[in-house]
Amino acid sequence: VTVEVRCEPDGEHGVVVRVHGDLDLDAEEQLVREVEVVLAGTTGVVIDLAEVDFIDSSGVRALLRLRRAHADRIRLGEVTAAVKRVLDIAGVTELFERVEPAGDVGGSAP
Amino acid sequence: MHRRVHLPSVAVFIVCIALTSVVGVLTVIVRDDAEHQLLEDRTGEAAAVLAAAVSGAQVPLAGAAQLAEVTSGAAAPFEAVIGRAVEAGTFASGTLVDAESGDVVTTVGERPALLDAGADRVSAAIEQATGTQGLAVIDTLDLAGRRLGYAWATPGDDPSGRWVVYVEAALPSKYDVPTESGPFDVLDYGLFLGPGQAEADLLWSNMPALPDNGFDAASTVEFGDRELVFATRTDDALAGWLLHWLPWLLVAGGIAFACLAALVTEWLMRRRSEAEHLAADVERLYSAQRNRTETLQRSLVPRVLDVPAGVRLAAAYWPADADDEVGGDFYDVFSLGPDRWGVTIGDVCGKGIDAAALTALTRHTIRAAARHLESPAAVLRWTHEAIDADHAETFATACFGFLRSEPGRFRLDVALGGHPRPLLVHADGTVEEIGTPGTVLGLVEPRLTSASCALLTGDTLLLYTDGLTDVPGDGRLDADALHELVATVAHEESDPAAFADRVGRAVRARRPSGAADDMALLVLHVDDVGSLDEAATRHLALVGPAGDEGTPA
Repeated sequence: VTVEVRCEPDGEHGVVVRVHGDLDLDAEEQLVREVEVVLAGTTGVVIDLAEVDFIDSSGVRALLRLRRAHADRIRLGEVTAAVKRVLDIAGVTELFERVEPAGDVGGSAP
Repeated sequence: MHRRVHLPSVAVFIVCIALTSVVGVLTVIVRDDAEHQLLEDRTGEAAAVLAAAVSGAQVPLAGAAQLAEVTSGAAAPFEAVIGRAVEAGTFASGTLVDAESGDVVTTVGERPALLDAGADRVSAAIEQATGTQGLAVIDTLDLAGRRLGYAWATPGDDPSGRWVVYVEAALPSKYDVPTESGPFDVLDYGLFLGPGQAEADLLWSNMPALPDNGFDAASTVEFGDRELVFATRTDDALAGWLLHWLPWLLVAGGIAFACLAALVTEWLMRRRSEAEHLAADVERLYSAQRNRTETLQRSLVPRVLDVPAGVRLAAAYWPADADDEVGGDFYDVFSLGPDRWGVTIGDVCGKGIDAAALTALTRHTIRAAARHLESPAAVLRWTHEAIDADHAETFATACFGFLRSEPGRFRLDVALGGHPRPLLVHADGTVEEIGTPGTVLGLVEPRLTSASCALLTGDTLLLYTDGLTDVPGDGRLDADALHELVATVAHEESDPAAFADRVGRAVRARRPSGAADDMALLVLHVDDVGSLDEAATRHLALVGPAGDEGTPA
């Protein structure tokens, strides 16, 4: 297992799932499974990638599969520059509503 | 082959049996030595008992001789003394003889056998008796009646006035004499009138016949002027039955151990040989799998690419290290007419056969769509729909471009489906990212945009997959570093194959732990675009971006 997933309640958008580690082929199924477990008991999930330094196409696929299955119930929290670059190249950044940390400017990306 | 016994098992068996034999033989030697020593000891003890009995038998003879000397050979006192011994059964007969004349003075009991054996034997016996101080044993074993004669002569220097007391004692039957129970009843013995152990000298034995191989031990006891030989043997285990059977127990145990050791060795050898076969099978399967992987990979990245005149092309592909699965990277360059080509590079998310199948689908869809469509964004949209229809739950990234030969330049119309932007290295060393970023193909509704640029003499176009830049950890190559590397290499290498090789090696050198992902490069170098002046063609190049032609109406 290359990622650790921690959950924190967040009143507005549901549960925040904090991912720690490399989001690669080994981590893809784990992330999808854990987010779906959390989703079963809440309104939505904010996937926070602030502690992810590496994401490859499998990690992107995990996010897209969740997005496809659960639409707007999946949101993205903070992302690192490395993750943002990969998501930008893949052209999927704008598919996800972004939730910035508390006190920051909330709401969705353009 | 599988049933054959392994050599080491046989060797173990033979060594164990040899050791067992040596131990068995040594034990037999030790046992026999101990048995023999015990037999000698017993025999000595028995002979000592015998010697005590013999000395007791001399007493009446000595007494009678003294009496005869005192009474000058009177018959009556002799008869009285010897008569008691004869009555008690100690002697069968007792005779008093005048040593000088050889005349018999008197005889008590039966008639002595010696008297019937002739005058020579009698005179020889008298001579033996008078020549002996004390008890003389007269050998009468050859005469009838199983008697043994004893003689005792009165002392003196010449025969005159000397007397010889002669008695004969009855011997038991020659063989099968019953043995009294006691410490010696385990012994088979023969008692001989020494010094030999000939059958003629045998007094008696408790055996039915003398043993064929003789006796094992013997002890000699002085008996008057002769000696008694007490010879023994035994079938009994004097040292106990455990020692007696010990060699056989050791041999039986040794054979059992040898069999067990050989079986265990054989079992281990079989296990090892099975493991070796298994390892060979695994290696063969692994190697076959690797061959299939390589074959499949080659089919996904073609070796022969169509090349526009004036352009040199190179492609390079590096599979991920320590990974025998087919990667998802692909590239292709193909002709679409006299002055139009399709150029593509892409990457299907995932690995293995499923990814390979989708890679083939993607590449062939792009080839087919390129023949029917005018805009690269439309080609990628077709491709997106083909992947989506496959329900593969995965996506591909692709860069596709139409390359057109125009007067004084090549024109590239390009679209990106979630793929890294190609790099255009101008002849002056500046590096430009070209194309408009778009969305990955196959999973979500993509946004795809075509863009255009011009390629002039000396320009190098680099298309690559994300394995070049995106790896976990320190091997990552950011945009600035990549641009610098590409500009440096392009400045030194105009040959696209050498360019691709150097870029690939430089990137891999940054990753000491090996490449985590596949990596593909496609390099086009423009040698010659014709005669138009460069400033004019550069101006012509600024026609793009061409707008989002891929979005459905």
